[in-house]
Formats: sequence, structure tokens, C-alpha cells
Amino acid sequence: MVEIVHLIGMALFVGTLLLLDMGLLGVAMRRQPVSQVAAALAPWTWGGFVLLMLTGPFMFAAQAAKWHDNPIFWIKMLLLILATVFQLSVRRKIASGDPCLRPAAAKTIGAISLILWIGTALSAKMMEFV
Amino acid sequence: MFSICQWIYQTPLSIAIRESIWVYPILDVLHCVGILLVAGTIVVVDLRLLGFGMRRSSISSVIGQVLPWTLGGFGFMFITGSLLAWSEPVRLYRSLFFPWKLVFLALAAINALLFHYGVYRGVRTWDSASLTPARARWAGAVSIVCWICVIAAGRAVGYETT
Repeated sequence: MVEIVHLIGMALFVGTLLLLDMGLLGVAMRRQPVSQVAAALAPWTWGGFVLLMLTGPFMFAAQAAKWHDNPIFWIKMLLLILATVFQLSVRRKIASGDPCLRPAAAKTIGAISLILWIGTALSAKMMEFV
Repeated sequence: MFSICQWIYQTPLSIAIRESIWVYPILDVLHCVGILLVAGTIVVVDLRLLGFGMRRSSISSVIGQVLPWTLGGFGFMFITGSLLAWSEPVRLYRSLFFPWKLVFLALAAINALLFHYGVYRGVRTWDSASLTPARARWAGAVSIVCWICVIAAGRAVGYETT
């Protein structure tokens, strides 16, 4: 049950973030400025993040011994920290508006963000296989 | 129905997926991570229909930009899901939750079709309206509920193996 909320949070969070990253990469959401996409989707992205952060610890508590011994869990935590730090540090740049953001920088940010977050989700799934 | 499942179970494709060390886990990972890619596009459209998010863009603009990804993503999920199902038809036949997953998938699809060929056809009149028509809002709400149920049922099916 908690896990389903976690999945919903994931869908909300990664889903909206994905659209933002695709906008940064220039492969989708091209009809409006990226800062607008970011501003419009931000509450949902945050909401998803809150759901994830609230349910995660409960899930860990239920499986603490097993997860503690699972190396992939720690990889996931590392990626999560990296991704969060990265996302928070580039937030202002994205939200401030396009003129300050050169296309190459935007693409790099989008790519790194995507890789880090998909990596986090992927390692979460891979935990099952260890 | 059961005999069809048994027949599928014995096909070379089914055996190949089941017995390979890599294929099933890879399909599993692709299917599960693929949820994130598809759900986001769907949820953004549904939220926009309900009046939340991307409000400065018209509905047709949001749908137009996102639709190719939603359709492509759905195709991807359908293919990976079908291959996964093909490899263990008997277990899914006996599953409590898999039929529900299919039911909600069907409801989501019907809802989407009704929307696109119904109220959406007249979108030009309400494209940038501050309040989308009731039918459009219902479509968005039903869609969100259906997809949450699909994901939940899918996760339950995953637990039925262990």
C-alpha cells in the first residue's frame, strides 16, 4: 500500500520532471519557454517528491535489514543525493528564464538530470535482482 | 481460456523468455521504468484538463506536444507487457489482480477514445477557456483514477510471484 503511493509519487515526480528535461533537451515541449514549463509543472514535481520522501523511509523501515545489506540500495541513495543536489542547484537557472541559458547548457542540464533520476529509479528496480 | 493460456505457455517464444536469464528481467525493468515515461505525459494532460498546470498553454497545445510521446510510450509498454504476459500465461490466468489490470487498461482506453472523438472534437471553442467543459474534466479525472489502478494492480501482480 505504501509502495503504491511511492509508485504514484514516482510517476508524478519523474513524469513531470521528464517533460521538463525534454524541454531542456529541446526534443519536446518546444512551444513555450522552458521556464514556463518548469513553473507550471513545479508544484506537481514537488508534490511527487514529497510523496516519495514520505513513503520511502516507511518502506525502508519495513525492510531495513535486507536493504541495508543490499549494495544496490546504497547506490540508489547515492544517486538520489546527487540528483537532488543537482536539481536544487540548477533550479534557479531554469526558472529565471531562457535568455541567460545557452542551448548547450540547457541540454547538458537536461541530460544530467535525466540520467541521475532515471538512474535512481533504475537502481530501485534493480534492488530486486540482488 | 485456460487451454489458450496453456497453448501459449508451450510456444517457443514463451519458453525462450522464461528460460533466458536475461530476457525476462530486462523486459521487467523496461516495463517498470517505462511507467515513469508514459505516466508523466498522461498525468500532465489530465491535470491540464482539470485545470491544474500548464494553464497558459491551450489544451490542444499541451496535448499536441505530448501525444506522440504518450502513444509511443503506450506502444512500448504494450509490447513489453505483452511479452512479459506471453511468458507466463497460466500464472496470470490464475492471478487475482491481473484481470483487474486489464479491466482498468480497457477503461482507460475507452475513456481516452470517448474524449478524443467526443468533446475534444470541439476543442477550438474551449481551448483556452478558464474552465474546461465538464466532460473534459471528467475524462481527465477518470483517466487519472484508471491509470493509478492499472499501476496498483500491476504492482500487486508483481508481488504474486514471491
